[in-house]
Amino acid sequence: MYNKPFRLKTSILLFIVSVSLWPTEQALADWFQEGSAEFLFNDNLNRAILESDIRSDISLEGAFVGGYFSQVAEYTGVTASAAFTLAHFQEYSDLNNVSLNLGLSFNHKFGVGDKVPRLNGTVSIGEHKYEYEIRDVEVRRADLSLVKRFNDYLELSFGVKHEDRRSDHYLSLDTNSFSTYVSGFLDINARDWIGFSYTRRSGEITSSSSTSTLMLNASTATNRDHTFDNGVPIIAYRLDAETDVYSIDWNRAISESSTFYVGYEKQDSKASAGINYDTNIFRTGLMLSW
Amino acid sequence: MKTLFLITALCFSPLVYAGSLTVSVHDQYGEPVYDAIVYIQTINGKIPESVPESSVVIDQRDEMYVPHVRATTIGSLVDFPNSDDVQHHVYSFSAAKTFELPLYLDVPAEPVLFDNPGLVVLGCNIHDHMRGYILVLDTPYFVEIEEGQGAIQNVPAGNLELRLWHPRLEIEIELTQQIPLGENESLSLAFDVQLLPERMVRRAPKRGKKRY
Repeated sequence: MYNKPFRLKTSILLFIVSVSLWPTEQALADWFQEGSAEFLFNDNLNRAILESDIRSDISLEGAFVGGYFSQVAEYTGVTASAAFTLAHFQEYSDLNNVSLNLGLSFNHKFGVGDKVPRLNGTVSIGEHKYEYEIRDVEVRRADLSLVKRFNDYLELSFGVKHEDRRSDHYLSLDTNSFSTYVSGFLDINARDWIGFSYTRRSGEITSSSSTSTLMLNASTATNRDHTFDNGVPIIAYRLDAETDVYSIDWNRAISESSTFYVGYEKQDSKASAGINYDTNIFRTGLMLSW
Repeated sequence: MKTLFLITALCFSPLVYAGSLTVSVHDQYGEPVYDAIVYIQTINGKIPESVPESSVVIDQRDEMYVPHVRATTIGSLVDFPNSDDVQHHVYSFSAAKTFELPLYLDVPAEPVLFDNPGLVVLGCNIHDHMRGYILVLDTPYFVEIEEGQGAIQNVPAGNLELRLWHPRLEIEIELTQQIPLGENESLSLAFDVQLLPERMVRRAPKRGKKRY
């Protein structure tokens, strides 16, 4: 359905655009690199309703992001970046994955001053390769946000984003969603700040549960999901849903180039036919930049 | 007002015609303060005469203004070289000086004349975390406090109106104190100041936020 050549073409296109923006003068680019390591606990990995179907796990994720920023006009800059991530799950090794995402961003500031709003836009494309290769997906994202710092304490972003996940093997993993969000940072002092966000996500989700007529009737695609099988057959159902995502993180700067954080995220999904899920994610990690 | 002002010691100076002030400044935790400026606003109620003009350099290094705080006299010319390998866009909207130096590398063509007294807050329109301060004074008697210490030499005798300024002073106004200074006298002064937490100087990575 989604053939490799098409995916390859979009990747190549993004690469060509990135290279075309490659700064011709070293002095005009700000190169940046960031690395992170994060522990996550997800109490409902498979988005199941029944207690007996719910699978939880701890994962360790590492990421490296590198790129360059170039100020192309007085108020406008562009950024090209590449992000490489690794994820290792303690129990569900099928979910172990590596991914490479290429992104292009622009930001435009509507004048001079630190409280002047900025418009940010990003498109990215990524390949996610899983240990259980049936789960491989290509992920495309587009994000547009308006960022405004109100004072020395508070910065808010209002945005929309679109995500398209495409699988070579499982139709139930092909999902498409559109989200609106508000996020922000509350500065407590020079070393501590709170990051928070609320996202309303409208679109498809994949729920893996035991066989259910209710789920089957509500789903738009199904596949057998061997990852979460535990003696009882588990089916991956693709469902249309409205998902509220609440997230909060406490960040502490350890130095000018490193940050420790602890965070919590709650996902509350409401699918058709009264099918509802709750997912809680706890995370802690360390970020480095240089 | 939580700020305490203490005269802690008095001793004689070897200078013949003028006295001197030695100043120490500590914060509410007893730590020596950086980036404070102590200056004599008036002597016997009058603004000191013959303010020398000077040339000042505020560098931009590693996406910071260096020095972060600088005092200078009215009429000074200030250069803003950019030692980074990225462009900066220096600006100020302060009443004492409104100006912009849009996107540049290396050294801008002309220095900026600071011809009015007052505080000038510097920003960079590319890097919002960059913030710097220039306090333009109409007195030649001032000192920039480093590691909690500083001294003002060759101060004429008289009744001094002494002021202290810091970008994070809690009372948000300059601290003022009248000090009598005799000829050849040397005073040691100690300020204990209440500072607000530092904000917006950090460049550490933020979860969920892109660097650009």
